[in-house]
This record gives sequence, structure tokens and C-alpha cells, in this order.
Amino acid sequence: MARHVENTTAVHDGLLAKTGLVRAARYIQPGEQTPDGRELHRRGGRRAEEFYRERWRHDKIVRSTHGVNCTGSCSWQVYVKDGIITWETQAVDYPSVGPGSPEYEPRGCPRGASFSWYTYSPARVRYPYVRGVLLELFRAAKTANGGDPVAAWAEITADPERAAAYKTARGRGGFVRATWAEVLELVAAAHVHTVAAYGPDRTAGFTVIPAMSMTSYAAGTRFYSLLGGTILSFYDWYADLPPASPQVFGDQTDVPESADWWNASYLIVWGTNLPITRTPDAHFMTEARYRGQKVVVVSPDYSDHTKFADDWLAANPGTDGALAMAMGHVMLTEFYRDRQVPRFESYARTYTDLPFLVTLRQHGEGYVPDHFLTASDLDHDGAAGSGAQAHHEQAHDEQAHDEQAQWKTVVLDEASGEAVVPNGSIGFRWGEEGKGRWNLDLGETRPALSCYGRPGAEAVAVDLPRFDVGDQGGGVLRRGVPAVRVGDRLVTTVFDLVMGHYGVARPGLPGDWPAGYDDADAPYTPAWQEQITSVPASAAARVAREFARNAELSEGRSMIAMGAGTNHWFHSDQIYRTFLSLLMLGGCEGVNGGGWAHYVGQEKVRPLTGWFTLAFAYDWVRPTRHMPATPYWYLVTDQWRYEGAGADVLSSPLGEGRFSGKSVADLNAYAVRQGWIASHPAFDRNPLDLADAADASGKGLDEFVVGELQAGRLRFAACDPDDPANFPRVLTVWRSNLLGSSGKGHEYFLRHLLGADNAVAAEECPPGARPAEVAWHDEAPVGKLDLLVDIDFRMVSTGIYADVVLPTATWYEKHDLSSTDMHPFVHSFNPAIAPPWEARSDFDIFSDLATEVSRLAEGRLGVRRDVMAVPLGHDTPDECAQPGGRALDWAAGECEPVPGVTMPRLVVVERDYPRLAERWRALGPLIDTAGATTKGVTLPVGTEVPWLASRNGTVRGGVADGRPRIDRDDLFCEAILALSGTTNGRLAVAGFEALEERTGVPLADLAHERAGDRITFADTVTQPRAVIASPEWSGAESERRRYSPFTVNVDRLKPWHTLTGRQQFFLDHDWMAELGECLPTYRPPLSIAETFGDQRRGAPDRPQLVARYLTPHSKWSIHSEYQDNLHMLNLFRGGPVIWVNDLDATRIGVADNDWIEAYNRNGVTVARAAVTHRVPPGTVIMYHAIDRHLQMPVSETSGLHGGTDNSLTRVVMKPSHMIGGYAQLSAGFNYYGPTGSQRDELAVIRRRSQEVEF
Amino acid sequence: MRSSAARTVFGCASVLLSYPDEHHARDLAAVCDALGRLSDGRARSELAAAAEWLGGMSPMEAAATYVDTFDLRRGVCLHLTYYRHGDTRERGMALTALVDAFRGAGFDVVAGELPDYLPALLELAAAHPVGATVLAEHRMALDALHAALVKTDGRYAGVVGAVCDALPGPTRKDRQALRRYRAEGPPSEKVGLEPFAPPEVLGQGVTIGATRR
Repeated sequence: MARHVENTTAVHDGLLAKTGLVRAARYIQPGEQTPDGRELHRRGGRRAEEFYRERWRHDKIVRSTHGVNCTGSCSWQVYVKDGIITWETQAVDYPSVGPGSPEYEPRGCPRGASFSWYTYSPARVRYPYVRGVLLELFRAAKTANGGDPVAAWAEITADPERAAAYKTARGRGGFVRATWAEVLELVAAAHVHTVAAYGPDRTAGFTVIPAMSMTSYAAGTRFYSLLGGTILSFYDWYADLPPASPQVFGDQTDVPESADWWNASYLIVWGTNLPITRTPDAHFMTEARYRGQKVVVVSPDYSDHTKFADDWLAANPGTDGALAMAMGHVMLTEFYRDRQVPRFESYARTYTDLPFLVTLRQHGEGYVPDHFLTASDLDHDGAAGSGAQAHHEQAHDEQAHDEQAQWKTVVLDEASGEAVVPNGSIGFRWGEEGKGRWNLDLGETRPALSCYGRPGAEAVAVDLPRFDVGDQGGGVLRRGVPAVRVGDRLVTTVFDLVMGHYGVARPGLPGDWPAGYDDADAPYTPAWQEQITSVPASAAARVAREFARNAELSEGRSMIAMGAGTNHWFHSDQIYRTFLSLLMLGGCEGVNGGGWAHYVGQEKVRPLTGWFTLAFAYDWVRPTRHMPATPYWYLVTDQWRYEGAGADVLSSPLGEGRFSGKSVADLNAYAVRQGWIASHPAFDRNPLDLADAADASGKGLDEFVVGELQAGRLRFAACDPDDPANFPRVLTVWRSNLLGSSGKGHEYFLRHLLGADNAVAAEECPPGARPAEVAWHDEAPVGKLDLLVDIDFRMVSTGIYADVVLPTATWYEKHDLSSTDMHPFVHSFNPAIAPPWEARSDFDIFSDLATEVSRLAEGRLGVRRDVMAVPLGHDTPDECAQPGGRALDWAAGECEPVPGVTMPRLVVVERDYPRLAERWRALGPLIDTAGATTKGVTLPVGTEVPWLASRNGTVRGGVADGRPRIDRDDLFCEAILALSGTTNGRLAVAGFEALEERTGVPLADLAHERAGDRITFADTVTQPRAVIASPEWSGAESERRRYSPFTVNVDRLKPWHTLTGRQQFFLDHDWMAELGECLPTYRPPLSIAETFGDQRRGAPDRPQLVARYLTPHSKWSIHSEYQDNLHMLNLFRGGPVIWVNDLDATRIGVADNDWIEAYNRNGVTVARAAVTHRVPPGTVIMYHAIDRHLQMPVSETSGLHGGTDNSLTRVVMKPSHMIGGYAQLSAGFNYYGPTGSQRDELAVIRRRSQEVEF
Repeated sequence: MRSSAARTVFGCASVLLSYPDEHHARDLAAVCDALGRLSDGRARSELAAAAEWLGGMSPMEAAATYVDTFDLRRGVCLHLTYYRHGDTRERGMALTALVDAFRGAGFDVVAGELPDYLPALLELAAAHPVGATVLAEHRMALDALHAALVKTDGRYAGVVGAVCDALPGPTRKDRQALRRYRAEGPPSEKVGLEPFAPPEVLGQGVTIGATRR
């Protein structure tokens, strides 16, 4: 029967019951009249809705961010009821990126969301913990010392027996809860004692990825900066830092935002798994395909991104450089030699070093490329000229007495044939006369790309190294270039060298050349690469042709997204240089929709200047002890004692023997004393005492220190890492999992740094193979570290081994800022609830620790002076310290030791230890006078300080009287935003204006449209806010334009921060030449078997597989969540897994899901086998990061509890990453330095007993 | 068990399941006193044994044992809603329901602690009749906790056992829930997984199910 009314049927049915009429009322319906008679209410029947309504009844809704260790930066709304988080949703109020493009929202991914309920999880760290044995020792010693905690700490650590008692307990449980007061006193006492006894640089802080929560990062680094502690880098340590970026661009990881993928019409995804690791952004890739974008994936395994590919090139692991070299061969052949593309040529002339002149040096019967020709080489009477015609007249005079002449590179004018010094090289960057001329304006000059066919050109044979033959040593290729004479020097262009090197034959040039693409014997043809990569020659050639043709037709919109798969190799810089060469040859860099897109561990602190200034306390003291983490861990964990070969195995066959007889540790010591690379602690003496001694000597600091060094009374600590005076004593780890995640050589950490049980099986270097210069102690120290503090909300491997574990707030429990390079928005974190249990935010923990350290410092440390050895820094005038890229050793008498020129700069700063906390809590006065500097651009901070004073309030009394307060996390965030160009339009414009003065090209207009904008913290609470174009970054951005790097360089002729001011194919440093890497080339993965011998152990007939051991980013146990998060683990097998090829598995008798062990000399780990044809034979994959205490059985091989993925890896440092003092190859924090590569390792896999014990 | 005796059991159990802090010795003495009010029986002997076991350890040993038992493992967790809801979004709602229960009885849980913390619920049960009702509603969690503690070395299992004995026996639903918990552990978040595979696959352990403990 039809019903005209719904919901109230039961009542309805009864309406007519009394009449005896068995029919529901059809025309009337019941209800209750309101007292005022104006309404009739019908009730009931909607109980189902109540359930949903209840869910949306909240006391408050708070915006926060999934502030995880990833690049997502996703805004979420958190719902709170009765003080409990009950619900969360994606925030869907992102500003639009404008018509014509997909939008950013909604953001978020299952991994970030899987964290959400961790807030209340039983696995969370809820209380401060100290290992019971240590706490008992501390309490007893404190009582014995009349309640003096510092004396107590000194006594425990000085007593070998008591020290061993708590150090050997590391990793063995026995934690007890402690009160905050007691635990902070213990930690502060350790710091105060270490500063006094050994020096502040013997304390260290390790934290990572500031962009994910800037204030939490900065809280700790600000503390260590004021203390004088060592602040460790992370990006290079992760091996995510691409050294090729500084080498080629003079800039570290400036990449397009994900919406710019939409603008690409040809996309090669090469070593980065976008849908898995860039989940909230991957939609741009899939959407762009509907716009006609072609997607090519290069990946050894059938990975999650492979299924999006139109073409899949399955190159063997680590051989990507060979494929890219062959693609370069095709591009140069078809788009430069056989046919010229005007845009490509003009791009090459203006934006790359291809037209620059390189001297050739006689070597045997041929020549080798030597160094860039510079203005100082030119004949002052005639051969020189200036590219910018306006300056032509004065040029001659200038060059005669131009101190910067050695830093000005030279091109050949195509029309006149004269050598010309164009604007824009680094020689114009710092000197007075370079003002207004540091730009890429070539004026009337048209640089010749090639000397080929020029009048007077000679055909010259050049020898170039190749590494595709011979186990490690490589061989020599004879090729030819056209060369001309400038004065008495024989020179050619970088372009000619590139043509020769890539094997693109031109008639009349001497040497051995490929017969064609199908010549498999001659590097670097498509057929040649096929033997190495297994990618069909025709496919390589086709993709190269398409890539270039697309770049030609679209004016540069060919993009390569690259990442860990190609960047975690020892020779990743070479792999990346071969990629970047393709992009430069296609004119793709600095173009929206084109260029490189590096996506591994990359991040972007958008409000960079304010963050940097505050994070490193540059408002009080400059500089700070920034330290590349790779050499730090390499030395302190004694991995240098286990090298299998000297550094000379890496040398080019054309090298000069610079590395012969030296170990990697020797080269590091060399680089340290040249001022190339930071090293802390710097000297084998307390730097506070060193300052006193210098004062007492009556000499100047430089003179005193140089004298002491030369007399041998003072030594660099890097020369003797096992001297107890040089041990790191106190280490704090926060926002990261050093031991369970990034610790390459995990077992060496356990042995030498911590003194815990470990599974190292490697032999130390035998006599004869030991370092020549770095001191060898017969017995390697174990348990160097006195105190390991871990601040986390999860009990990860670092916490398991720490002496003290402190519970911290999650991203729903604090104020903070988050940004990313994937989108242009600044996000805020806001506390939906107060940190539960005993948890405190990182910010509050360091605030409290600073207070405690200051309290204990009173009467013990006082005000001291501190000597810092500062390396020659990139983007400072010091980058022009060592001309010509010549490695001259003052210790060998090759030059004079001059601090700041041939050795580190020496700087003395004042440490006011009792006032440390007061300084920590207030914006210091140094910013008023010195401003705030990023990448060589100083933002003139002015009105921002009074603005902050009135916004945040000021400090009353004490050392910071009247200064703006930053003692609360939200106030700190406010200061970061106020002091950065990206979030403060006034500073963006002022910074651009400062840059205009130097460059002489218009820039400030890029920020004019938002000159009055200021993004406050309150703004970011309201909505994610789009940043302002700023000189802190290299790309223009606005409502109408997506961010892509180097668009300012290309559009406005602003130089890159390199030697030539252009993107560089050629690197002419002596050590680059020694390695044979002046030009991009293919270097295969390291030959571990060659260096370390057979890794197999046990009975010879036991079936074992020796395989390439890859540790890519996990879908289940890194970034948004760790391995203890059940949700994501549920999507796979749960515990540790190693992927093995099915044929390999059959050979060693392993079936799917069997328990196996993977081991080598570095350690062992246990896992289940995931047997699959998707992984190529000879390769196994263990996704990182695996924590050793989670579902990890006892190993048969070691008898110990499991291991991590990094149990099998070890730090291997590449000498070229240590180069410094030379233009873009200069030191910078997370900018340039040795990377902790980990993909060249081999693992032995075998089946184990299927009975496992946990 | 008489309700006054049950309240004594709850009160003593709350103390015994709390972290052994600096007041621990005093608290244990109070427990021993209170136990005198109980008649002989399993509850009394279990609680007394636990008190004696704890009292026999040094404060540091007792603290380390507690942390090792309760602080670092999901499977032995004193926050009862975890057993039914795991780390899912249902947990937040379950917690707010408990906040209500406390308020209804005229109590607040101290700041920083969750309302499903067993020693807090035991205090409520010792102080107000609604507490026993709430505990009974979490019977499955108590049984699961008890089963996990039985596998550890200490005497904490007996304490939880005594609490269970002081409550009405488990219902059929409780027993079902316990079986499910034992087979599968706490539930996983399912939101957003619907399109991951067809329901017939999701339900049959081909992918998701196979990973459950």
C-alpha cells in the first residue's frame, strides 16, 4: 500500500485503529504542537542519524598536520570531545592553484592516517625512562658527592667498572621511570661535565628533516648552538643528498612542486616510486597522463610505479648511469651534431658551461683536460676582452690587477675568435668590482660552443678514463677534440670534451670512435649500454630521441623524477650527473614542466632564513658547529678500522697517484686540515681551554693555533679518533631513529660507540693496510659514548639502546610549522590535546634542559671563550679561497697554512653558560646588526624586530632584557615566519633588491605583488598559506605560476652559484681529475667481492646466494609510521621480509615465507623470504627501516637477537665529496659532504632453521 | 563475593597494579592491612602473594619489572579499551564514554591519564558501584590481560585474576570477543580499505586475514 508519509509509520498505523478500520491514515499525520502554537513537531524514527550526529558533536576542532618524516605535509582537522581525540578528517580548505590545473587537496595518505591513534597506543613512550643500573649509580654517586650531580657524573664516567656496568646494559632493558626533575638533572650534569672536561664539541645533537616540524628541530639545535655542541647533518648521512646537485647547480636540491608535474609533457621516473613515497601528490602524475604526458619508468623491479609507465626500462640495479650516458650519446648525435636545434644551442651557450674553455695538458702521447681557463691566464695585452660591452674599456685595466681573475672563466667569441671573460662567473660574485655584473647577460658576445672548424683549430687526441672495464681501475679511452691556442695554452670547450667523451664522432678528429649506435664495444652507444643494463639498445635510443624531441617541441618540458633507487649508490653523483646532462642538453632546467625532480629525503623549509637563524642561534652567536654526519659516524663508530682497500682503488687510470698509500680516513684528515670539510670536535684539546691558552700566549688566535699545529702540540681530532680526548661523550637524538633507521654500519655503532652486544664479523685492517696518517690504537675502544639520550614517542631501536628515553609530544599535541617542496603552503601544528601522561613537546624538553644546564653551569662553567674551526663555506667569500681547484697541502709544505684560505677559518665566540637558557628564550640582538643570511643573500631585518616585540611581548630583566620573547612554541613559530622572505613580503622584496645590486638584473618585481603580505602564525592556523616568491629559492612562484627551480636563473639571467655561474658539465678540481670524474661518466657499483673477498661462511656445500642487497624505502615501516604500527604491516606480512627472485630462491632451497638469514662481514639479520619474479635474479630487497626488536628472531649466525636492515651495510666515503674551498665544491650543512651510500653492498642469503625464538 | 569485599579487592588491586613509586612501601603496607578484612580465599591469597612478591624486591627491581611488564608491550596493556578497539578511531569514542561514566559517579580522572587505565577504573570500583559495572563491561579486556600476564614471571596475573573473580562471570559475548581477540589481536583500522579487495577476499584471509596474529 502506498504511503504518503514516512518514518512515523508505527504511530500512524495506530491512528485509525479505534475505528476498526484496518488501514493506515492516508491524509493526516500526528505531531505535537509547540506551546506558542506556531509549529507541529513530529518525533522519532531518526535514531539511525543519531549515531552519525553523535560522531560530529565535539568540543573543538583543531587544525594540525601529519608532521611525519615524509614530504607530504598534509593538513588535517582533529576533533576533540571531553579532552579526548575522537575523530580526524582531511582539511579541504587549501588555496586553489588556479584554473587549468588539478588542485592539491585533499591531502593525506593511509600511512599518515595510520599513525593517528598512536596518541593513545600502549606502544607509546609515556614516561621518562632511565636504565635502572645507571640511575642507581647516579643516585649513589650524587649522595657520595654531597648532592653534586656534576661531580656524580664525573665520578661514574671516570670509573671504568661503573661505566662498563651501565654501558654493557645498553640494549638489555632494565628501564625504570624517573621524574622529569631527576632525569633532566642527570642529562644536564652530563652536559656540564663534558663541556668542562672535554669541550662543548664533545656533545652532539642528531635530528632530521626540519621541514616536517621546524620548531621541534630548532629547539634542540638552538640549545646545542648556544652550548657549542656539534650539530650533525642528516641529508647526506641518509644518502638522500645528491652530491651532483652542488656539483652541477651549486645549489642543494631545489626541485619542482608536484603540481608542476602536470606541466611536463614527457616524464621519466627514474629511481623514485612516486605513488608509494609521494602518495598525496601522485595524482598529478596520473592526471598529467590524461593531458598527453608520456611516462617512462626505469626500475630494476616491477615496482608500484612501473604499472603507470608507458615504457618500462628494466635497467640492472646500479647501472642507470650507463643508460643515461647512451641517451646522451643519442641526444648529442641527433640534436647537436646531425641537426642543430637553435633553442638547445642558445640554452647551452647561456645557461651551461659548455662554451667555456678548458686547458689541455700533455699526458703521454695525448692530452688530458686540465683546468678551466681563467682571466688570470689571459695575455693582458690583447687576447682578453669583456663580454659585457659596457665594461669593455675598463676590462683590460681591471684584469691586470684583479684579485678575482683566477675565478673568472673564459669563452671564445664566435665572431671575433677572441677569448672573452663573460659576466656571471664566481669572480663577479664577491669582489667590489663585480657589483652589478654577476649575471648571465652575454651582451654582444656569442660564445662559441665548439672549436670545431674554427680557423687555426688543431685536432688533438685526448685520453679520457672509462670504468666499464677492469674490476675497479677502469681503462683509458682515446678520443679527439678540436683545440685552439689562447696565448701559449692549448684549449678546447667543454662542449668539445663532452662530444669526445660521449663518443660522438666528427670527421677529422683523432681517436677511437663508435661505428654507430650498434657498436657494442665503444662507449657510450646504445648497444654498449645494453650489455650492462640489459635495456635493449633500440629502446634506449628511442626514449632518448623522444625525450629530446619533446624538449625541442615543448621548449623544455621534459622532466626526470629521480630518487633513492639511483641516488643511494656510492657513485650516485656520477649517475645523477649523467641524468642532469640530458636535462641540460634538452634545455629543460629552469623551465616549468621540465628539469630534474629529485624525490628522496628532499624537503624544503620554506621560511628558511628565519628558521635557520633561530635554529642555530645566529641571533646570538655565529657560526655554529655544523658537521656532516657521514664522516662523523665513520670515525666515531670506528668503521674506518675495517676498510678492505686503500683509497687509490678509486683512482682514475689517468690519475696522478694523489691517493696512493692513503686510506679514506687519511683523505678525510687531509680535507679537514685544508678547510674543505667540517670536523668536530676539531682539535684534540678542549676548545675553551684552547681559547684561554691563545689569550695567555699573547699571540693572535691564528698565529697561536697555527704555531701549535706546526709544533705538533695541537692536532686535529680527525687524525686520532680513538684518542679518548676526542670521543663524543654525550649524544641526544630526537625526531629520528639513528640506530634503527639511518645507522649504516649499525653493528659498528653497537660495538664501538655504545659498547653493546654486536654481530660484527669483519676483520680490522692488517698492518700495512692501515691509515698512513690517522693514528692506529692496537685496541679499538668500545663504548665511547657516556650518555645517549633519545627523545621520541616510540620505543624504537635508538631508545632500546639509549641510557635515557624521554617521552615527547606528537603532532596533535604541540605548536609547530611544516612545509614541503611538494606544495607551496605553510602549515601549522596545533595542540588538540595537551601531551598525555608525562610527555612534553621537544620544545619544552629543550627549554627545561637549557634551564637545568644553566643552573648547573653557575659556578662551574661561567662565561667562556670557544675556538671554532670553520670550513671554507659555500655561498660565502671563502668559496673563493683555493683557486684553480688545486689541492695544495700546507702540512706537506705545498703552501702556507693560512686560516680561512688554506685551512679552516678560526673563530672565537663567547659562551655564557649560566645565561644559556635566557638566550635560548629570546630573540638575540645580533640579528639587528648582522641581518639574516641565506645562500649569500642577506635579508636586512629591521622593522621585524619591533613588530615581534609587540606581537610576542618582550623579556624583562636579564641578559635579554627588552628582546622579543620566543619562549613558547607558538611564539617561536611567529618569529620564524616574520624573519623569512617566503612568509614576509617586505623581506622578500628587500632581499631581491640586495640581490639586484650584485646581479644588476631586475628581480624585486617577482615579489612586488605580495610586498605587503605577511603570513602570521594565526594565518597558518586558519588555513594553509601559499608562500611568497623570495630570493631564498631559485624559482619564481605566484598564483599563476607553479614553482620550478632555476626559473629565476633562466628568466632573469641570474647566475647559478657555481664557478662559471652556469650549470656545469665539467668539474676541474684536482681530486675530481684523480677520480676520473671531471665529466659525467658511468661508474659501476663498487666491487665488494674484489675488495673484501668472498662473504660466505659455513660449510661449502650449504646452498647460499650472494646477491646485491638493496634497501629501498618501505611502504610499511618508515616515514609516516614505524615498524611497530600494525595497520600498515597488516597490508603485508607483518614482520621483517627480504624479497628474493623465484629462481634464486629455488637454487638455495627457499620457499615463500621461509625464515632466512642475510649476512655479510658487517652483521646479520633474519627475515622471511618473499619469493617473487618481480625482483631480478642476483638482487634481494629488504625495505628499510627494520627495527631490531620488532618481530625479529634470534639469529643462527650470530646467536644474537636479529638485526636491522643496516646490520649489513657500512659507511663508504667517496673522496670527491670531501672537496672544499672551491666555488660550488665548498662546505655547507646538508649541502655538500660525503654521503652514506648503502646500495653497493652484497648479502649472503641462506635458509635457516624454521624454528625461531624471539 | 559481597560487594564490600569486592571493593576491598578492587582497591588493593589498584595499588598493586600501579607503578611502584616512592610511596610503594607505604602503599603495600596499606594493602596488607586491608587484606586482613577479606575472608580466606583465592582473592586474598593471590593479592597477598603479589604484595609479598612486590615487597620482596628492591624498589629498583620492582620498578624495572613493572616497566618491563606493562610499559613496553602492546599485549600487556593496562588501558582496557585497547583490547576491544586497538589503535582505531573507535577508541576515542570508547574513551569519551568512560569519561562520562566517571563524571556520572562524580569523579574526574587526573590530567594526563586516560579513563580506561585499569588502576583508575579499580579506584572507581572501590569508591562507587558504577565502577564494577564498567569493569564488567570490559571483561574481555581483563581476561585477555590476565592471559597475557600468566605468561610472565611475576605475580601480577593473580591480581587481575582476583579482580575477575570479584566480577560477574563473562557473558557469552565476552567469551566470543575473547576468542576473537586471541585469534586476531586488537582490530585494525578498516576505514579506507574497502576498495582494497572484494569483500569475499578481505574476509577470507587471503591478504588481510593472513597477516593477523
